[in-house]
Order: sequence, then C-alpha cells, then structure tokens
Amino acid sequence: MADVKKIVEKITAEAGAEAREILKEAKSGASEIISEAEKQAEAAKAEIIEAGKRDAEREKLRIVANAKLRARKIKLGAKEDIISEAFKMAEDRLREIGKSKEYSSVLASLIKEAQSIVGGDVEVIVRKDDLAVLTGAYLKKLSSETKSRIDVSPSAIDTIGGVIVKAKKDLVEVNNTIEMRMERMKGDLRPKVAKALFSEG
Amino acid sequence: MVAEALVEIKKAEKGAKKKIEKARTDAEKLVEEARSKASEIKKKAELDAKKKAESLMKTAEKQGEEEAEKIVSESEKEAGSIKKESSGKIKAAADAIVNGVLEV
Repeated sequence: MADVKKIVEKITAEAGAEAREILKEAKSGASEIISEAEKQAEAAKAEIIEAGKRDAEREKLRIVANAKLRARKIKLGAKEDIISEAFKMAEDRLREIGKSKEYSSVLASLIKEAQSIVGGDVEVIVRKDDLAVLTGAYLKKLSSETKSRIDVSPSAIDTIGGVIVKAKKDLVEVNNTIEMRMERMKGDLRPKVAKALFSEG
Repeated sequence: MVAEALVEIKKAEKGAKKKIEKARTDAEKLVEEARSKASEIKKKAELDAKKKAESLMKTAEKQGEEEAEKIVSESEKEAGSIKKESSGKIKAAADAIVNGVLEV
C-alpha cells in the first residue's frame, strides 16, 4: 500500500509540474505577444503622426501660396484699373482733339502716313464732320506732298477721328482711325504708361 | 489488494490527465486573450495617431488662414497705395497715350 501511495504521489506531482510548465510557457508567450504589439503600435503611431505633420505643413503652404496669388491679382488689378483710367482719359482727350483746331493737321498726318503705306493714288474715307476739313486747297497740298491723287469718298465712317485710306490700284486699305491706332499701339503703349504711372519719382 | 492498487493508480492517472488538459485549455485562453489585447493596443494606437494627425491639420489650416488673411489684407493696403500714388500721374500717362497714338 505504501508503494501505491508513492506511485500515486509521483503521478500527481508530475502532472502538476507539467501543468505548471504549460502555463508558464503560455504566460511567457502572451507577454511576448503584448510586448511585440506595443512596439508595432508605437511604430505605426509615429509613422501616422509623421505623415500627418507633412500633410499639415503642405496644406499650410498651399493656403499661403493661394493667398499670395490672390494678393498678386489684387495688386495687378489695382494697376490695371489705373491703366484703364489713363486710356479712358486719353480717349476722351483724343475725342476733344477731334473737335479742335489742331485736328486738321492731325488728319493730314494720318492721311499721309496711310498713303505712304498703300502707295499711289488713294481714296480717303472720313467722318461726316471732316468732309468740311477736306477742302480743295487742303487736298491739293496733300497731293503735292504725297505726289499722289487723293479723292474723297462720299461715304462717311463712325469714328473719334482719323481716316481709312484705300489704294486705287488694288483697293488695299489702311485703317488709320484713332480707335484702330489706339488698338494697334496698345501693346507698345502699355509699358510706357505703366512706367509713367508706377515708377518712383 | 492488487486490484485496489490498480484502481488507485488509474484514478491518479485520470486526475493527472485532467489537470494537464485544463492547463492546456487555460494556456490557450491566455494566448488568445493576449492576441485580442494586442489587436486592441494596435487599434487604439492607430486611432490616437489619427486624432493627433487631425489636430495637427486643423492647427496648420488655422495658421495658414491667419497668414493668408494678413497677406491679402496687406495687398489690399498696397493696392490702395498704388491707386493713391498714381492718381496724380494719370494725366501724364494719358498724355503719353495721346502722343503715342497721334505720332506718325
């Protein structure tokens, strides 16, 4: 009986030891799983936050860049308004010149310039009011200066001033009205106007 | 006597087997719980990080908008100055245009 008791005790003890070992290994494994998860979690967290910082900085820069573009537009818009005002004032002045005493010499210059471009005998088309300027003596003087025949068209044009000149030989025409000249020269005039308006002194 | 001894030993062996099986079941439960906790840890970390990233974005947007407002406000002041300073020069500019148009 004592032997049986010893055997039973041994069986029980060995089972107990094995059970304890199983649990010990499981606890160790569980601890490792948690520890690994914490490491991975920290790494993932750091990566997400780092990416978040980069995105945030990029967004801030985007907002500021847009504002700078807007600011540039605002300043350019202000300059554009002033330039437009200058052109409007010039147009009004040209309209006045079209009614002034100096206009007849302006018209003569415009006719001569256009004739020199098309060449030869020409027909000129002017405003209804300017027909009175183109007297016989006036046209005779112009013909002599340009060495060409200058006829006046009975039709009239609607313009601030100036002339359309048509070559008799091939009907090529030059539009030398004030409006067309202004339009043609706008590109060249703008820098000069900007300089006059916005340069120091 | 022998029979009684064998019964005792069988009983002890059955008990030992049960103990070991329970230990294995408990061990599996421990590991499963650890995996579940690990998943929670990672999810929470991701959530916390996303919240932090959102907060960073909100702050950056606010800072960006404040700076943008200053930039635009400054440009509006400059635009006003441009208009004020050049208003006295419009006549001269118009003269330049008239001369340019009439120059042949």
